Amino acid sequence: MKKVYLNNAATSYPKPISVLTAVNEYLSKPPFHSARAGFENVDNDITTECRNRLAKLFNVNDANRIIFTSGSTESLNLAILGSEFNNAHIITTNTEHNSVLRPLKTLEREKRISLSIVASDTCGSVSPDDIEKEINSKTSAIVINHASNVTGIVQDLKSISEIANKYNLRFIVDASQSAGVIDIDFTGLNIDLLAFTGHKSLFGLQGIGGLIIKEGITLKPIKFGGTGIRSDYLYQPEDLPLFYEAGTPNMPGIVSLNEGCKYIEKTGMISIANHKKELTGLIRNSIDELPSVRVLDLSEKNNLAIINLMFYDFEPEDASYILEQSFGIVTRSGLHCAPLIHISIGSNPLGTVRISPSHFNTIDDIQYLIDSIKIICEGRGF
Amino acid sequence: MRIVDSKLIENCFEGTDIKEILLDKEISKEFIFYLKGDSFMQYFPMFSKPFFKIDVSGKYIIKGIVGFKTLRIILKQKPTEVYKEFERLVNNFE
Repeated sequence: MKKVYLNNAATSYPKPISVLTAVNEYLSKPPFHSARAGFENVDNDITTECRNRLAKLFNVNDANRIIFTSGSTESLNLAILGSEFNNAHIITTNTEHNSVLRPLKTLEREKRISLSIVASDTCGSVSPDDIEKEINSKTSAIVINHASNVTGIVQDLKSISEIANKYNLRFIVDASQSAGVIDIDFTGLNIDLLAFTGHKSLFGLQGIGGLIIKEGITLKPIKFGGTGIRSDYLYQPEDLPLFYEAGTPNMPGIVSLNEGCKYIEKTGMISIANHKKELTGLIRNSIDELPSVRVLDLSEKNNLAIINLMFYDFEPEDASYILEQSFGIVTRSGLHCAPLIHISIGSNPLGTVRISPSHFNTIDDIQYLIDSIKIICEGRGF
Repeated sequence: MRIVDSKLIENCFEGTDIKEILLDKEISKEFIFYLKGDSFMQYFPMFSKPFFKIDVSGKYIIKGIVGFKTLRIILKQKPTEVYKEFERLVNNFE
């Protein structure tokens, strides 16, 4: 049976060959202790190279303000919990992933913050005006999902940034889905904290990500421990990035992220995006004609090449199960860890079947998906 | 028929337990009609790998593919008790 992977909004697969080669080469050599092995040590070189590459990608002036984490969840926890909000009002949106909602709801339950969750429209787009309307004298921060992992809708970061700056609010951006797909100008947009992950569109391994911290902002670290240097100092060294990077670094992850970014530089973000748009366009045009499936393709702001389907005869989980088991096509069903947005877009309570192709999928893959969906739709069970 | 192994499956929704079950033999059409009993079943024989879903009202849902050795059970209530009941049902199929 042909195998087609269309769940890249969760984790990208396959990775570029150069990523696999670099990780394999790295793991084949002895792990020199960071900062101690002179010219034999490549760890520091790769780490610095990766930080510099990310600084260029996100337009960050000081690469040392890019903190490596295990992914967006840790980054967002550091951003939200490390901000030490106390008796503050925070504004977020219903498009958020649980990596934002859960830390915020936990703080709300602990009565450390009050929370306003701004609803998107039926397409998944959040109005900056609706965000501004929620601001009160206690408002301290706006936490916003740059691009939804459910709808692919990209929010108007520029307008929301202007609102955050106007009211002097901390501006926290979750770029898990958009990093590597859309140009993000961290400095130009005056973002305070930007979380990203490596394992989606940056083509890295699972377990690597980062948080970019604007100059002048200090967070309370959420972990403390070894850094390989200043071991006689009994507190976390205050220098960046070590202040937030306790513990053994995830070198295979950093190597993969570095190579993933190189791949994007070489191929071009626009070229990658155009290929994916061609594939999703093909899906949309073909499936729109079928009577028993609805494409929840929400608006022209869907820049992430994500398609959501709702089958009239099958629950999303069943449709996804059939696609995988009967046809070898991996999609994702359910709420996609972003439970609130489904109320706005009309897919509550069971969610959708999400299809998210990658740069490496072919037109043949997509034609196979379309043919399989046609068979499912035409199939009459009893 | 015997259950060889089972493992819990990730689930978006609170209040349900989902298990993937490995059987010692491939699932046949006879086996799914046996599991169905008086319950409601969806069956799609026109797929090259036919899908079935049986809803044993209030207790569990099972779904799978004819010809495979695995199926999925969604336990709706009293998971331990209901799973044992299902295990007995499977064991009794010759």
